Amino acid sequence: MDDATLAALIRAAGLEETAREFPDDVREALATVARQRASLPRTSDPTLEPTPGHLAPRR
Amino acid sequence: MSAPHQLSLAEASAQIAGRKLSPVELLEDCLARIAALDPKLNAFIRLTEEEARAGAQAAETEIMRSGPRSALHGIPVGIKDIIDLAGHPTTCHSRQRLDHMADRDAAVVALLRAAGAVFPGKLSTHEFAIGGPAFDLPFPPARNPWNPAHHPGGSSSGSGAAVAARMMPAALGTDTGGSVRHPASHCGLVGLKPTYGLVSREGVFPLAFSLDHVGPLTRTVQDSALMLNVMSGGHENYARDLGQGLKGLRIGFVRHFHETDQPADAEVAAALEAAAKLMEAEGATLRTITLPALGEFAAVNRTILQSEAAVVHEEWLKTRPSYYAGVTRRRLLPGLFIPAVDLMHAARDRTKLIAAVEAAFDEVDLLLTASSMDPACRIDDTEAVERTYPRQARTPFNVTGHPAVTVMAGLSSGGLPLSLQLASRSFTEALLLRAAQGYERAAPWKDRAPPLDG
Repeated sequence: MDDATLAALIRAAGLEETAREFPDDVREALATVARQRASLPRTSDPTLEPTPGHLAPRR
Repeated sequence: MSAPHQLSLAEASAQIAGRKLSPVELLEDCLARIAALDPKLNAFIRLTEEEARAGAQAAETEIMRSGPRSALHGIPVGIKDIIDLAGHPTTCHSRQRLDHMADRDAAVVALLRAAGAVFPGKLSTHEFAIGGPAFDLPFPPARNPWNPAHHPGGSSSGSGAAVAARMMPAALGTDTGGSVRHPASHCGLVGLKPTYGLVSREGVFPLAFSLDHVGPLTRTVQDSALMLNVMSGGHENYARDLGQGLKGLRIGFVRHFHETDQPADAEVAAALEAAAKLMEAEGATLRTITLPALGEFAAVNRTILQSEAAVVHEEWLKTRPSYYAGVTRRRLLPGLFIPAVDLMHAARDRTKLIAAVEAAFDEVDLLLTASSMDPACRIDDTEAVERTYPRQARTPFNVTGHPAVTVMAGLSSGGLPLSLQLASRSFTEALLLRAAQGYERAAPWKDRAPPLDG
């Protein structure tokens, strides 16, 4: 990941201060997420509902 | 006659009800045990001795006058320090919460208190139930009573260490990716994760709302049932089917979890095969069952856990990240970078995983799986500790919410406990505990204890 992208992601997450104090931890977190995304199942079924389900509030 | 601290919960309860044992005598013996062993096991963050003494004295007076309120009346129960105990800090083993004070009991503690349990202290945990074992926190990590150089499992580490060391007969833990069953597995205990929602999480510091469960760690299955009877609100007797054994039960053995998905240590695999044979000999019918791969359950659990935990910790991760142990910070930070669409993919795959496990329960009554794939590693071997967390088969039932229990299933050549896991349909804990006790009764492990008494 190039430095500009890295900086943009850190800014979007609001972690500029944390990244200044713990740059390796923040960089590692981004690498972890990138690695994990590859193993996350992605269904092609557009109708599959998530769990927990979203329920209408009861009166 | 056994020293009081050596009694199981059910044994102590029976002696208290029969007025052969005083709650005060039991508590004092447990406190003496804690004083002797805790300096090397670090199970406790905080002792609440005086309150516990007052509780035990009140229990004794009431029992002498009118008999016990419940099986837990006068029984010492340890509380993991992410669960509120009124009048004491819930530190979550963290620098972030040293100035916290719980103004009331968590709902599950209130139920235990109403049943007459006494609380000798707050037990150590991984920081916020995720970051540990760590050596850069205000309190040291708990150690394994079977060998203090080894990891006791986590995150309910103090709960596992204390109950295994016979400091008290039972403790509360919490379980988001296996954190009751992991220390139970490594410490030779019974660890129960009830069905999602059966035990209230009110007053329990959240790790991940939709995955968190509160459960008991005990030395026997019967004790687990007695704890659950109270923890779930007293509406059902989960001990009702104990003693019926395994005869006639259909058990699906999920071999691929430990054979191909995360190949287990040879001693763990052999212990599971021996347990399966014993269950058949006891009258159960076993067949091999295939579920989705462990890696799929793990990916879903991880994405949901990190996302939900990020909501809880976002402010502290931004404003005082140095207050966390390094391992905690590194485990929490990824949650702030997970795209929302990934969380929804995980939540949708969760629906499929629940359906797959439900379909298995159309064919069998119970699932038999590994719990940990390895005996406990050394606590100071950081790489081995990191490997511990994915090398397990507990997270599937956090994802699906089904109840699951781990029981001891052997001893490694290094003298460390091995374990197995059973799971059943939601809200069938009576059946689950019946089966677990059927195995426990037939196997030779129930009375094995850590080598702490010379």
